[in-house]
Amino acid sequence: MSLLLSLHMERGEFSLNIDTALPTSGITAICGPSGSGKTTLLRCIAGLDIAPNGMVQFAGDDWQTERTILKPEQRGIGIVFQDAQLFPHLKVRGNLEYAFKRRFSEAGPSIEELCDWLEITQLLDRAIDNLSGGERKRVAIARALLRHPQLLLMDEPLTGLHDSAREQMVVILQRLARHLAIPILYVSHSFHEISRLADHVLLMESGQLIAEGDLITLSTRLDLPLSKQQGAGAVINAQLHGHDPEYQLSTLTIDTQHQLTIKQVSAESGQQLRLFVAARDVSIALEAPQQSSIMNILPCKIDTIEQATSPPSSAQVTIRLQLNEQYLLAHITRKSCDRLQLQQGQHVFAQIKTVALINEYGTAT
Amino acid sequence: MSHNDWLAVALTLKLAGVTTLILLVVSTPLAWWLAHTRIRIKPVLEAIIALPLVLPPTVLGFYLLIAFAPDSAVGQLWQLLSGNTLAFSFSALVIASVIYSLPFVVQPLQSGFQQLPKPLIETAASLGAGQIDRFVSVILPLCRSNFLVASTLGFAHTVGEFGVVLMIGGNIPGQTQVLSIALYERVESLQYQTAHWLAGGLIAFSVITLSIVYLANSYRGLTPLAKSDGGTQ
Repeated sequence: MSLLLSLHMERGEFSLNIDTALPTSGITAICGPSGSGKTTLLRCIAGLDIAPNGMVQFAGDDWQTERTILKPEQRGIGIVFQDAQLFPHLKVRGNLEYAFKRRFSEAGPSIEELCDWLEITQLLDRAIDNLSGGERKRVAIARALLRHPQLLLMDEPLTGLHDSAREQMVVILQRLARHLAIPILYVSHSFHEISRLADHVLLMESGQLIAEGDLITLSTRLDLPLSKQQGAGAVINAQLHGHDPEYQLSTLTIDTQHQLTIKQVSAESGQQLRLFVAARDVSIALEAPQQSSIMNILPCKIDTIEQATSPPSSAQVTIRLQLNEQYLLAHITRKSCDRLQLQQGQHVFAQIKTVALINEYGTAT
Repeated sequence: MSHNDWLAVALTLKLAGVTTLILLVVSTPLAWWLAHTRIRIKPVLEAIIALPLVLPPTVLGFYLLIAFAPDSAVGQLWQLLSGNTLAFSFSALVIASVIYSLPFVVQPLQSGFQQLPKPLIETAASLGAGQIDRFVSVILPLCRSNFLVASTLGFAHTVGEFGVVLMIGGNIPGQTQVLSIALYERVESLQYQTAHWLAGGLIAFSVITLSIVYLANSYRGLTPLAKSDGGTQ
C-alpha cells in the first residue's frame, strides 16, 4: 500500500519531474528550498493542479490515470494551507461543522475529540477575525481532520508563527500523529521542523527529487543540502538505559560502545528515543578530555571531512563522524581542522554539548 | 392618484421584480464565466454587455422595436411559441429590461467573483464540497453584498427606465404603461398634481434604494453607476 506518483509538468521556466512511491503511514516530509516544487507536488496530489498524462494512485485507488481524473472533492483528502484559509462567514464551530458534515468516512475523530487534541474548545464560538495566527492554524488542522480524510496534506503549516507558538504547534502535531492512523504529507523548508516530525523525507530541488529515505540516513549525508543548513545536525536513535534520580539525568544507549547522558526524560527503560545533535554543538578532541564539564564524550571515527565549496576557503568545515552504525555531524573551524591535522579514518573523540530529545520514536499507536 | 396611476405603480413593480429575477438567473453564470474565462475576446464581450451604460436608451429601443415587429424573425418565433404578438406586450418590456439592465447586475457580481480568494474555494473542494455545494455554501455567502447590490441596482434601473419602454412598449394602461411613461403623459396633459405624486414617489424610492446599496458596506469595486442617458429623460 503506497502513494504512487508519476508527475511531469512544465510551467514556463519551472518543470516538475517526480516518479516515486511514498509510504502510506506516518509523516512524510517534502523538504526543499522555495521554488523547488514542493507545493506544486502537493497540489498535484490533491487534484488542485493536474500534471498532464500523470499518474496518482493512493492505496490501490486511481486518483489520476490517462483516462480518469478524480476531482479534489472525490479524493478524500484534508489540506492545511499555509495561511489557514478559514471561511470568514462562519465561526470556528461553523468551519469545523462544514468539514464534519461532508466527512469522507464515518470512522474518525469527533469534533469534541479534535477540539481537545488541538486545544481549541474555548474558541468554538469565536469569529474567525478574532483568532491569533496560531489559533487559526489549529482550527484549520482540526477542520481538515474532521473531513476524516485518508491522507492529510500540510503546506508549511508553521510558517508565520512566532517561536513559542511554533514550538507549541510542533508538540501538538507530534501528539496528533500518535492519535491518527492516516498518513501525513508535510511540506516544509525547515529541517528543524522536519527532524522533529517526519519519519520519511523527500528532498526536492528545482522540481526534481534529489533524495528520499529515512530521516536518520538523510540528515548526515554530506552530499545533500540538509547538512549545509545553519541548523544542520544528526538525527540518531537511542534506547533508554536508565535514570539517575539524584542528578535528574537519564542514560541512553546508542550501541554497545556508545552511551549518552541527558536531562531526565519521562520514558521507560528500553524505550526507543529519537535525538537530535546539532552540528554546531559537536567539537572534536584527539584524546578523551579527563577534566571537562561536558558529559557526553564519544569515541568515534572520522568518516568524511567536507570543505565548503562556496565560498572556496570558508572558515568552517563539516565533519561526519561514525559511531558504528550511526553518524554525527560536527561543524568546526578550518583552522582547528588543520591544527589537529584531522584525517579521514582517524579515531577521535566527539564532545557533545547538547542533545535534544525529538520524540518517543516507535511508540506511535 | 387615479386607478390608472396605481395600475402603473403595480405594473412597474411587477416589471422590475420579474426582470430582476431573470437577471439574477442569467447574470450569475455569465458573471462567473466572465470572472474566470481567459478567452481573448473577453474585452469585446464586456463592452457589449456594458453598452446600455453609454448608449441612449432610444438606440436600444429602436433596434428592439424592429426585432419585436410581428414580421421579424424574433416576432414570428415568439408568436409560434406563445401564440401572442410580442410587440407592445409586457413580455417585450421584460426582454428589453433584461437587456437594458444587464450590466447593472453582471458587473457587481463579476467584481465579487473576481475578488473571491481562490484558495478558499479550493479548501471547500478539499473538504468534499462539489461545484454546486461550493457555490451555495461559500461563494454565495461571501458575495452576499454583491448580490444585494446587483439586485437593487437591477431593480432600480428597471423602475427608472424610460427611453426603451417608450420606443417598444406603447402606452397601454395595465399592460405596458409603467411609472415613467405615466408621469410623462400626466405632464403632457397638464395633470401636475398627479405628476407630483409620481415624481416625488420615484425620488423617495430612489433615495431608499441607493441608501441600501451604500449600506452594503463590504461591497467594493464598482463606483455608483453614473449612467448617461443623454437627453431622453
